[in-house]
Amino acid sequence: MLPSTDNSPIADLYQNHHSWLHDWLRRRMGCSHTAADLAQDTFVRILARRGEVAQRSSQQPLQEPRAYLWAIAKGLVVDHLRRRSLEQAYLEALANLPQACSISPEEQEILLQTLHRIDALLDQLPRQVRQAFLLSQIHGLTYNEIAQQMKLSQRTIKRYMQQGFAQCITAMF
Amino acid sequence: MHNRDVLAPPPEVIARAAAWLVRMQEGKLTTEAELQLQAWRLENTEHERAWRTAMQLQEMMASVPGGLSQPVLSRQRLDRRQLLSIALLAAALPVTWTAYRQLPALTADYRTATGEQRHLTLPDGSQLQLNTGSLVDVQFDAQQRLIRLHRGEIAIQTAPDNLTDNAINNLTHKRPFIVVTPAGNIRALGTRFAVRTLDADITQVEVYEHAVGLKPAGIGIETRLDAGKKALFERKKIHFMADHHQTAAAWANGQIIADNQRLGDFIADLARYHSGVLRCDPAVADLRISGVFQLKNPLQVLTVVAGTLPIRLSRITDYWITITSP
Repeated sequence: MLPSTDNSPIADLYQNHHSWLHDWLRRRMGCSHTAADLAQDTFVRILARRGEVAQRSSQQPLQEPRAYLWAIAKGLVVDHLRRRSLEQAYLEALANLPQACSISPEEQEILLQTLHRIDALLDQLPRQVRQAFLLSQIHGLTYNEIAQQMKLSQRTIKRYMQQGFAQCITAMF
Repeated sequence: MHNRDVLAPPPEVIARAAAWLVRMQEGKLTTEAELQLQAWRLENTEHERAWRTAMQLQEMMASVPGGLSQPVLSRQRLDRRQLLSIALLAAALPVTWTAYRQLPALTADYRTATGEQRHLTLPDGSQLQLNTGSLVDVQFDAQQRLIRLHRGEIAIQTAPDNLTDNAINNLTHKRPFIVVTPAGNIRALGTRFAVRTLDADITQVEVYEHAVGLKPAGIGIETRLDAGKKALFERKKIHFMADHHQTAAAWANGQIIADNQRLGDFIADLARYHSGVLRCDPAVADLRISGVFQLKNPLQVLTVVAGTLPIRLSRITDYWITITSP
């Protein structure tokens, strides 16, 4: 599927290492489907950076093509695991809601996407900041209550909240 | 919401917007502070952009019900290194995350954002409605049915309790149904009623059917409040209010009802459903208003009111509205 002319370094990578990568991912992830998706995504990422790849390989061929592939695949694996852990928690939370409090499938999908976005925002925050942010924004605690729970001064909590808001706002642009 | 082609405002502008959010969360802004915020936003389009995104952030956080967002976002989080080491380790992944979540949830938290209302059926069949900006825990166990109202307003229609559960030795008994607020408890006596926390220390109760027992936290005895009655109570005192003639909380039917009410009070009530600033100039606050309005769209209610009273709506944005004399 990859044209071999102007993308030739990538075509080489694909031909020589795709099945190795797929195999590697399958053994790690325990699922051939997921492995195939992740391997595919890895090459899509590389295609997006083809300028960089072409430049690098024109100067000198990729020394460690597999290390390069794995470096990119790693980021995708982490992302995938994170999404999966969120989806798992989401399904359980849905199941734990009282029966009559039904949410339509469309709403469920929207809520899940929103949660993914919030989760990604939270993920970039330092641990302590994230904890304060969660307690305030998701659990509805006051700064005073958070300070008590985290055994920190209210001033520190305010500083964390300010930092958390600023990072999240920045990431939303 | 992602504007990838557009640069974010400078960090110092975003820091200011973040500082305003922190201030707003610490407590209601004073009029002076509100004016400062407004002036800041108008000063520069970058300020306004940062502020709009700050509002979007808040809306997004509030848009997921607490029953979902709390367990999901507070789940045990593994950082990148931990995730990778697991990925590199073995194939059998999901177990590590799910095992600790397999326990049945004994408590559930529910919250509503400003302007949002929710209707829930509790495990015993009782109906629980949450009004705007509310936060409750529902704790049902073998001994009692407990609702903790942390803030906001709820309406309850209790169901007769017939708990038969093999897990608790085939007990069949009636568990008391209790609403816990900081000022004290309300025990349902087979009934329909609404509870609102006016602030941290004052609880308002309105009974529509049968009766409830009020037990302020600082008093040992329970006082009965019958249908048609309304009371406010603090930790050590109960204030009985004028009788009402309602059969349900108006808000629970999506309405707000004014019966020769001061405009200032009506607007304060309406403001609870509006995410943003809604102010009434004292010059027109004493006008009187009557009518039944649909809560779904507070802005539309304002337009209707403006059509019947000699007032003017100054709409700076939908977020910021002032009512003044024309």
